[in-house]
Amino acid sequence: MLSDMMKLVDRFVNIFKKRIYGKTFYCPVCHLELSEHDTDENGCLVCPLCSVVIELHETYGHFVPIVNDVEINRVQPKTRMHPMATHLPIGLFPFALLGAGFLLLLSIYGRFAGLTVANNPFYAEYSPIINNVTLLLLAIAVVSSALTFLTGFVDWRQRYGGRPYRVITLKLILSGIFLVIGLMTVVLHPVVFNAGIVSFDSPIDVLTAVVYFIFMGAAMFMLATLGHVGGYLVFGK
Amino acid sequence: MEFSLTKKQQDYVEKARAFTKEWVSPNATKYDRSGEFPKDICQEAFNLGFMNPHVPKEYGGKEQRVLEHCLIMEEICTGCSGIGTALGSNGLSQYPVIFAGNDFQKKKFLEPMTQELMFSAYCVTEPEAGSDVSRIKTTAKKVGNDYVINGVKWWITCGSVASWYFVLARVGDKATGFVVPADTDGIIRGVKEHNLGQHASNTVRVTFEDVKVPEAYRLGEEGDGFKIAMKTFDHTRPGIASGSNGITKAALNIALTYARGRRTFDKKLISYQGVSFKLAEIVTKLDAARYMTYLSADMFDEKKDNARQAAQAKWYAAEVAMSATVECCQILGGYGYTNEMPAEKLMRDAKIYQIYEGASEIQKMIIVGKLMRTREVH
Repeated sequence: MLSDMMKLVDRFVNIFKKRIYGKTFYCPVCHLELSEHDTDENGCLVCPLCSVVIELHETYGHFVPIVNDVEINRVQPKTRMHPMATHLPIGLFPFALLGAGFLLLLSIYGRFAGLTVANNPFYAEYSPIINNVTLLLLAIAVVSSALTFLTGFVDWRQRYGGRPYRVITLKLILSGIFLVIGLMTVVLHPVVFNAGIVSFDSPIDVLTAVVYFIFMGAAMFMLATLGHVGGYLVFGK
Repeated sequence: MEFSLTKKQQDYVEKARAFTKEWVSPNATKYDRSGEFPKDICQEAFNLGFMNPHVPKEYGGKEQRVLEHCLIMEEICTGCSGIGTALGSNGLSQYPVIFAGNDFQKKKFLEPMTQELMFSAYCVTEPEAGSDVSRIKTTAKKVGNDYVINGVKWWITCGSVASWYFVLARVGDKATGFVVPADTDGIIRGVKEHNLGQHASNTVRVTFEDVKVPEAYRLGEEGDGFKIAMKTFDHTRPGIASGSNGITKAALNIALTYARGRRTFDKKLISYQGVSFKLAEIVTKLDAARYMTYLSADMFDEKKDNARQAAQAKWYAAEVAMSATVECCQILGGYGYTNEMPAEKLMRDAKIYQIYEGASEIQKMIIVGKLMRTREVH
């Protein structure tokens, strides 16, 4: 069952990867997976991880990456802001998701047990605290992601020479989507949890909560993918 | 004497080449590393008509000539011979049915294979009987109208995905061939073997424990099995030689591409005779191996005895593939030794061609056996 699910996920990832990356090959030096579209007009590229200059050839569908040079004087920024900034959203957002999930569980339990902020001391005391902390974490995560985006962009221009690597294009797209979805969750959060817990009184309330949690899930997925891709770009396999 | 391909053959080659570049080569590393069976690629090959090429027309097949099959296999194996083996091995088990099966057997076992993607496997090799097939220990005892098969078959290609097996077993002291549906009680499929190369090919052990097979599933008469099993090779060995030629072609292309692009001591690698002469030797040997392969295939298609020519092609093409891949790795230097380049895989894949479907030494024995019955070689 688990292996079937993993196969399904793997298949989905491969379809997605094929769309973004096209055909891929591995850097023969650092084993980083690179896209055929990463090459310049001369069919060359600089490996973003190990800096070797690769001349890419294809014969019978097999890629033959030939290394003829190494870019040893790569610009190294004095302060590496992006790796530090990137851990703020990655570190805080999962806790915001946990907080929102816990509030949802409280709301569902309260709905069946007849417990509300008005009639239960636990709900009255703790749900506003959890709600505020969740919103704060969410807001910091989203706002700091803008900083991460900016530092990442500067890093790309300086360290990677602004070369159009597919992996960086993917990061830029995902970061943009995360920023938009993240802002939506910050806006929707007070609406969904206006009473401290989720109100299921009207269909609009339910719909808003559903949309909010879909956005939260999607944002978490984006963030995890961004972290994974970023880590891969820095550390390789 | 005609040395050019017909329009139809050229079309086959171009179609197979496009399929190889689109499906086989880009996935070669993936399946080599995972060891998964490439069912999705086989499905695509089936849709394009590259599978089961020899099945007669009256059973839904295309009854393709062996020569055309060889041209296709050479292209596909240039991408990955493991995938080539996975999608080409049906022929090995189908041919005994084509050659010795009756109408009922052909309808039951061949026809469905032309309608949907299915696999079959050739179960002859045993742990104690490889090249020396006559040593097989698997028995088939006649019980009423059935035969009860007991024994272990070893290194069975497509063994765990097959829908039926061609099984060679002893009835008393007579080697006899049977077609055994894979869902018959008593068949135990082993785990995939971790071989040196051709990881995409599914090689397993298949155990038969009191497997009951109706008499109607026996091929030919009792005692015909050895002849059927051996005759099959006259048909399949040109295809195997084409697989070797595909590997040689891949090695040549990769080595050539690398030698043209890589610089050492301020010169292109290809400008050194030590490198360029290797390429000259590979391409010459490849052409020789190809002509031998095409000749053996054409002789089979013309219903001539091709046993010697098929053995020569299989042996020589395998030797050329092995030496070409070793030289390819040598030309690539350290990069030929890393698994991020396609060269080392070719070397691992090539080795099996000197072993399966009769080791190189067996091929030489066949050639000498034929020579001994020849008054003069013209």
